[in-house]
Amino acid sequence: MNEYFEGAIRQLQARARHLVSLIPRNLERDVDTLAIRCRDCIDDVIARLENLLSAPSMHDPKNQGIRVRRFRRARDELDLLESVAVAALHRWGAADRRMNRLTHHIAREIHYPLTTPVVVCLSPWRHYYLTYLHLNLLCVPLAEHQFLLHLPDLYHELGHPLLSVSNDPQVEPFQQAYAEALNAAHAYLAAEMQQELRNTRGPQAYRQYLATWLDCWEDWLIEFFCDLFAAFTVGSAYGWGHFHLHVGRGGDPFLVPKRSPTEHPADAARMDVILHALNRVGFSQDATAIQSRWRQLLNTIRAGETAEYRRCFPETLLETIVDKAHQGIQALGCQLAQPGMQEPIRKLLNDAWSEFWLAPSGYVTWEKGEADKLGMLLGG
Amino acid sequence: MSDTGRHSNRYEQIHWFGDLLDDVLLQLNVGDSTPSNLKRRQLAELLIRVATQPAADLQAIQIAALLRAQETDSLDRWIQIGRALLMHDVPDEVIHELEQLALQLDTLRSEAVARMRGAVRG
Repeated sequence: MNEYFEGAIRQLQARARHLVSLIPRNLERDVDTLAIRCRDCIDDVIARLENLLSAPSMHDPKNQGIRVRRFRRARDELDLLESVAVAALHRWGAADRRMNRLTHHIAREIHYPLTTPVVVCLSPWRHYYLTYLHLNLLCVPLAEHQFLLHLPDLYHELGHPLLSVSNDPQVEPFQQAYAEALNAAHAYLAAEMQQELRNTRGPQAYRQYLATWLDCWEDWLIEFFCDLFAAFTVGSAYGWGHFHLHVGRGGDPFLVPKRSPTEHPADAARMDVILHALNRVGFSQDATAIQSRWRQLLNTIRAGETAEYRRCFPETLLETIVDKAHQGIQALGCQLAQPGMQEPIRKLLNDAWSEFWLAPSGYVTWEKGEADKLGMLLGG
Repeated sequence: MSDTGRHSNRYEQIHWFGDLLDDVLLQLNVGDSTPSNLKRRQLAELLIRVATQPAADLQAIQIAALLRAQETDSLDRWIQIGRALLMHDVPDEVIHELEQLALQLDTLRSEAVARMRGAVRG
């Protein structure tokens, strides 16, 4: 393998250096953190490749397996930098600038305790909003800055870094609340499994289901906690946003996996915890309105709870999750949403939904005017 | 967060754990590894911690999920491997199991990358 690595590693190092040259030099401060992170990551990859090329231990035949694995990890990292982060910087423009400033405003309004992620309008087809945690980079669809109804999902995305950073005492209570909620979910599943093991006469399928659900809860709970972070910090607009997302992109709202794990919990369970959160912070009237529209939708698409769904997402467990997340978010020191709040962005996003339901046919015109005003407020 | 974002996070964990495992394996192969070596100790303590308190903290939760996906019967075997790393002489079968884990992590890495490229929002 030595001959191969002599050529391949040098070529990958050259590619990494070329990526550095593609990062524009005249970027504004909004995007500095991403540019610095990119350069640091690329430098780190180049250094690791140099070690693979020249360290004597890497030429020893018994270490070639390690060398291949390290080479692959370096290659993956560079691929991701090239296709996401450097690509975002290379085509940085007015839409990115505006979304970035909007997210900064949101972070300030809610007293977000971490560095705000850089936001770029570069989400690939069907990927909607997504966060690359190690790059602190949030991707949204290209035209998102012109529309208001899905913007509450930014608050959900801001929840993800809170569960991924390490060694930050300010966010540890939130992470601890997550760990406690996960323990509660695991304890529930363990008790259910014991019950199934005692039941030697009935169908055995639930054992498989419970094992699958056990594999899911770590991911599901992250989504629940981010939903709750959003509901507690932006208020009703997030509940409406979840409704809107499900109408346009959802499937069976009560879907529970039976064999292969899924990464998102059922949309109905997500709506359930969101409504609990809204009721807790004084949005009961809005929660009732959202629930009413949600039930209409369920009737329209003929969706209903199944026994598996209720066993997978028992009400008491969902309430425990809301309790834990609420405690964790309060401990973060974030400014929770409340009826009548006046901070401009939170108010606008909730007003947008009020306007939508008040005059649906005229909403597009209203939204365009408000989006333009927001653009001016954000300086471009 | 879309599935892609989640896979990006999972990939980061696999990457970090793979680096740690390969660093320890390399030191064992080269023959200059001791129980007090920082990374060897870190790996030993991590294996013991995730197997004894799987939901102790976020890192433990994520690594426990990776280990649960392996073919050992339970997390208990990882406690034994962790303890072996804290002894002076590491048995060959422990090194072999760590190599197997490194190979399986590389497969998980490849799967995670593939899902990052092709997943859609759930």
